[in-house]
Amino acid sequence: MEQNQINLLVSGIIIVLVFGVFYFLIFPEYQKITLKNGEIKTLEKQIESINNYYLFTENSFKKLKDAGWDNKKKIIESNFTSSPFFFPKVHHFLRVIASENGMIVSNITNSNPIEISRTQDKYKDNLEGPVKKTTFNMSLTGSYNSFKSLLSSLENQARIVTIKSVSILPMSKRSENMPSDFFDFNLSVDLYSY
Amino acid sequence: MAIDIGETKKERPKSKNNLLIILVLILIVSFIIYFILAFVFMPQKEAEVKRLTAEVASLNTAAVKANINELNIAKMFINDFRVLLENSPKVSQFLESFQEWSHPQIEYSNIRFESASRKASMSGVTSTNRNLMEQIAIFDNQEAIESYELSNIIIDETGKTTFNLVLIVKSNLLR
Repeated sequence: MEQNQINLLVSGIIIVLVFGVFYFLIFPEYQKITLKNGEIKTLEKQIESINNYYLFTENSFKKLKDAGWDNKKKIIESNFTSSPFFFPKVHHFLRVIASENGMIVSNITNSNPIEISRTQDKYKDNLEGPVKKTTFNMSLTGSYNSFKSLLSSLENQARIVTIKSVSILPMSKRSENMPSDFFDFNLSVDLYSY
Repeated sequence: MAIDIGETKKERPKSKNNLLIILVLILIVSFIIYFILAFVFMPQKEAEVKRLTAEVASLNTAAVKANINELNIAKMFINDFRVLLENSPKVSQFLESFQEWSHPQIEYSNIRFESASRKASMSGVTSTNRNLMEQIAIFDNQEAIESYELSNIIIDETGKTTFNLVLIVKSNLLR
């Protein structure tokens, strides 16, 4: 074999080797590095968005605290608590508020709590929590003005009371010492819990 | 002529040797590139990925979770409170308004008001049907009344008039 031919053969082998190195070693490694770069970019973006989110929540949390959320939460959370003493508490609440407004409570009954999401109420989809409502029926006696005052008091409570129906009836049994302007009232209200 | 041929024969192997050297150099450079990629850059990238993954995991601390939890509770409570409040009609406003609308000479009894339908039903009694006519005129002038219906109107010999009234009020009265 001539020197020229040997050179040509060696050159060919080297060229093939160079292509082999590029194709089987460098290119796959480059692809791996590109993938890792993508992974790094994703992680960096993730960290940035998490940090932004945390910053946002931290600011929101600070604003919430500055707005006196702790006190406000205590005031409104009676609507959103679940307690085995819910019924006695509400009975007590209704009796106290009625007597504070000069009404005599003769009877209070209640339904079982129903989850609002299972009712036909139009606003059910706007609620976020598992709010339940319980209907309380009250039989009361007193003057018309006291009754109006009771309704106003109920409507302005932090514990939300939804007045479903009111009935004003002549007194069925009037005792001698009962004022002449007294009526019987039936009041049906909804109260809420989780 | 013989001298010329001799010179060209000497130059050809030199250039071929150069080409061979260049090719060998390219091959060596290729290997160097591979080794740099595989044993310098790749470990660096892997270390960077590990560091960032650990950083992501360390970001989710208990204090941050507690803040997010409290914010979610606040959001839920405030939203639900607003929704319930907006859907709790002010029935006392109906009673206040009805007191203003009712004719002083008409006595109403058995009043029942249902907030969902905004419907009030009651029976009325008055000494003369003129009072009832005046009551109708008052109702006609009230913007808060959506509709009303009188039924079972009975006028006796003395002019005493009894009737049933069904009144539907507009929703904005109860807000």
